[in-house]
Amino acid sequence: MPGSSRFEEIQEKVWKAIVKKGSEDTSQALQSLLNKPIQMTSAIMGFLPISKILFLTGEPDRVVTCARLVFSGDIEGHMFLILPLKSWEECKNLLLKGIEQPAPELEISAFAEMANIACSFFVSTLANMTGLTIHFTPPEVLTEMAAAVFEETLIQLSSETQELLTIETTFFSQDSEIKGFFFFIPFPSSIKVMTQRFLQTTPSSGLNWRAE
Amino acid sequence: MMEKIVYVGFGEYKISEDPEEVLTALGLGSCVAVTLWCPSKKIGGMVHVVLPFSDGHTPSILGKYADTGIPVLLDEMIRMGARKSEMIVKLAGGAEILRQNYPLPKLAIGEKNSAACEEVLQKLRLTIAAKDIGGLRSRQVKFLVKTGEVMVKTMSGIFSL
Repeated sequence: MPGSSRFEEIQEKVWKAIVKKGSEDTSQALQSLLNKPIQMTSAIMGFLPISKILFLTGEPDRVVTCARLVFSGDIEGHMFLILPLKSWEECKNLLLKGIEQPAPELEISAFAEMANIACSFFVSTLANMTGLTIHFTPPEVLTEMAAAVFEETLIQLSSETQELLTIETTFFSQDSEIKGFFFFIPFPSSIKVMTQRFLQTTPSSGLNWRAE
Repeated sequence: MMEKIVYVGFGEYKISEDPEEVLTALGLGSCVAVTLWCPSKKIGGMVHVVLPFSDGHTPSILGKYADTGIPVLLDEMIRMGARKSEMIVKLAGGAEILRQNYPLPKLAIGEKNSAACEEVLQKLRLTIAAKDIGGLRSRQVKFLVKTGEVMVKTMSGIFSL
């Protein structure tokens, strides 16, 4: 179907535009929060087979601290902010500076806040560029082996698809050990909705597509 | 001897007669890895169960459900020459890693998966030799085809099941 491949081509361009802006805004937010220069690598976006998702952060049995946020509204999916333990230790020292031996609850709360801010910036960019209404849940924080944090997302989606669109950005600070990952995984039914809405609300994008 | 890691992904099942192979399931939270081993034929199999029951539908990925994955694994192993009467059965997984301190209701998928696996194994008249199920932490499971040994790795360490 020629219309379909044209749509996929435009869809990719649309996502790249959204993701680029979203990543820049997220990096700014983390920078302000940690009071440290934070760089983000260009977002890697693509359809990944479910079996590859478990390897997204490298070693699947590496212990990480993760915040998962479920988003819903006009589009649905999951977002993750993931930090290897060493990196989280460094962030914690910056976020909880001056507090001696913080309680575990306070540490969880600090991580949740960091995830909340990073994800809010990404989602607001997305909403501004598409006009979509998007809500998300409070972050759910867990320290676990990396592969396990994606399990529920995969369970939820494995009956719908064997491939997932994943948007991945790695952030890091050159003068510290801080390095982490941000993932945005929309459900398959949301991908087309987002693209169409972006094209409707952003005629200046230079991308023209109509259903054939 | 070099170990050959063979990943048993989400809803997959794998059977091996290669003594160098180590069947491995990663990131098991609520999922359950069920291993079957025939000592005389040195045939081993693992299924990575994701959900309890298929509700009578034939799923496209047979290993996904306890009630389709375990029987198909057993049947194929028997077809390859394994003896049901000798089968050593172990299972690990079925944890509840999410929603521990969270306002959303717990799904208890881990508990349901473990119960479903045990029910299916009982119906197939297979006795469980060892299990490590439930809890709040994820697991990584390695199954050595050569010896039938099952190694469980958690955040606190590794042990043989």
